Amino acid sequence: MNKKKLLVLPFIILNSVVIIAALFKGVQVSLGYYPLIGLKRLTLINYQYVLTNSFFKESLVYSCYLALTATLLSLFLGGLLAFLLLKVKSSVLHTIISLPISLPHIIVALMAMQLISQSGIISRLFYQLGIIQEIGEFPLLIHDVPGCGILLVFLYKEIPYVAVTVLAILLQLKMGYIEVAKSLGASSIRVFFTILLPMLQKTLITLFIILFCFTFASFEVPYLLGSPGHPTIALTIYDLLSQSDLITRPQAFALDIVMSIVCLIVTFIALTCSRFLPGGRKTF
Amino acid sequence: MKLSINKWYASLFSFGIIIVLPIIVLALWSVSGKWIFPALIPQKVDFNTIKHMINDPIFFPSILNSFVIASSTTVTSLAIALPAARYFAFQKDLSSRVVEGVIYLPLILPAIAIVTSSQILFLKFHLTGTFLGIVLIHTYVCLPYAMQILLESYRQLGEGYYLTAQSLGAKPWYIFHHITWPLLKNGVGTAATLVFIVSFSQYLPTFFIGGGQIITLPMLLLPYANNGRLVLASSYSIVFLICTLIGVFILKLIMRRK
Repeated sequence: MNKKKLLVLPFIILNSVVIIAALFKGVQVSLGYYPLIGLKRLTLINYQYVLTNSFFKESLVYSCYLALTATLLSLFLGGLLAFLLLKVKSSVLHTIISLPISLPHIIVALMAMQLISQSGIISRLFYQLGIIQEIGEFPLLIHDVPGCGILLVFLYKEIPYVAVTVLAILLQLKMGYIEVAKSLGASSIRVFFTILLPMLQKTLITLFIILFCFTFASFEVPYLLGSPGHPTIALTIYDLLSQSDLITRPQAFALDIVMSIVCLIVTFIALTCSRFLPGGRKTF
Repeated sequence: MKLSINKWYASLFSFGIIIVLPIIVLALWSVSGKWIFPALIPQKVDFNTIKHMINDPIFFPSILNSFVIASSTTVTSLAIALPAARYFAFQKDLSSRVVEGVIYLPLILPAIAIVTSSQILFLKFHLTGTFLGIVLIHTYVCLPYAMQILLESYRQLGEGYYLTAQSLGAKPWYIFHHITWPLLKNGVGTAATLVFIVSFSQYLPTFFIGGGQIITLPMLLLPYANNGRLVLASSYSIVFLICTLIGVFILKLIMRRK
């Protein structure tokens, strides 16, 4: 038995060293213990500053908005796409649909610039078709405040990811249940709530957690496509850390910790919801 | 019925178009000599930017660095994930939600928080600016993906074959070589491919732990894209995609031989 547990040791060591030791350092610095610049007194001032300063608060709220919008839309559209994939059995189309999963975010962001910026292909097409008369009439979809460009990049990457994951579950499940329920006269809504939701919700909740946390903390996409006046929280941290002035570093680490706590709270809430949804309790 | 199937096919087909179109535009940009608004296709096609890119002294080293880091990360991740996934798949003490939590924790905690905080730790152990440091942090980032796939493979494999062979007197290494590996090969191949791709496209961990001394393809790509140098950035993207394909192809060859 003990010998078997040794198998998992390298995994646990790497993860815990990185997570625990790194976050311990992060907590230390954010609490004001930073001997490198002569700070040695523990204080909560960094947290207080980060949580009350309107600039930081806005970037926190903005990141949450982007993450929630992108995640919920991806889950909804990805779920629909999964059923489409289930209906159409064309292996070429299946391969194409799963293509974006392996494209890096930087390249997808670049593709967004070429496609939906004011001088992008769609704008050019509109011009040729006479829908717009000059370049400036095309709406600002990149570096814009609602973050259309950012959201589209995440949707492009995440919808296929959700679809492929949900499809794998759908193929494992016995679709016969649905046939039986329907032949017994169950409505589509009834089928959804008593069969599909209980079978799928655990996967959907896991996907929600992973996608939310990733989008919330992502750096490259908002760096390339974000509105200059509205940095996301990851961008704010990056800016604070790339300044030569070391005095702002404790604030960056305080933001690191705040960010991690937000992700953990969202995870906890999502898992709790999962328990109370149909099909949640069985597994415990 | 026939009509409705066609309708489904058409909708999926349009999804496919939305996915492929931007990739075609990207490829066109990489060879465009002149492509000014409102032209729909490049006004001039040439390979000047691509030549310029290849002549950049950092070009080949960055490709080499990317390959060295991604392949080392793939090997390290598999070496760590294979035994761990085996343990998690067959243990009976922890519920599946707890195992999921342990595996997915690196995906839940914000990467930027972990990377920036662990930078202090890595500095202490003189791991910043080294390949070892970058491979370690990449392995941390990639492990959840490898674990997820391998765990599923082990669960499908079951413990039955292993126990049968063991009770017939087979040695653990023999069992691994003749039973586990042949049945697990597909899962390992998928995990290796995914880890390679994820590691290849990392920017933040390489940037912070590499300290700007070890240049990989994404580290060249991001500034070019940010400065609006679309042609150069597209050329680098195409190189990036070709390199990933080569990497995946080599991995497939290795997996087939064994």
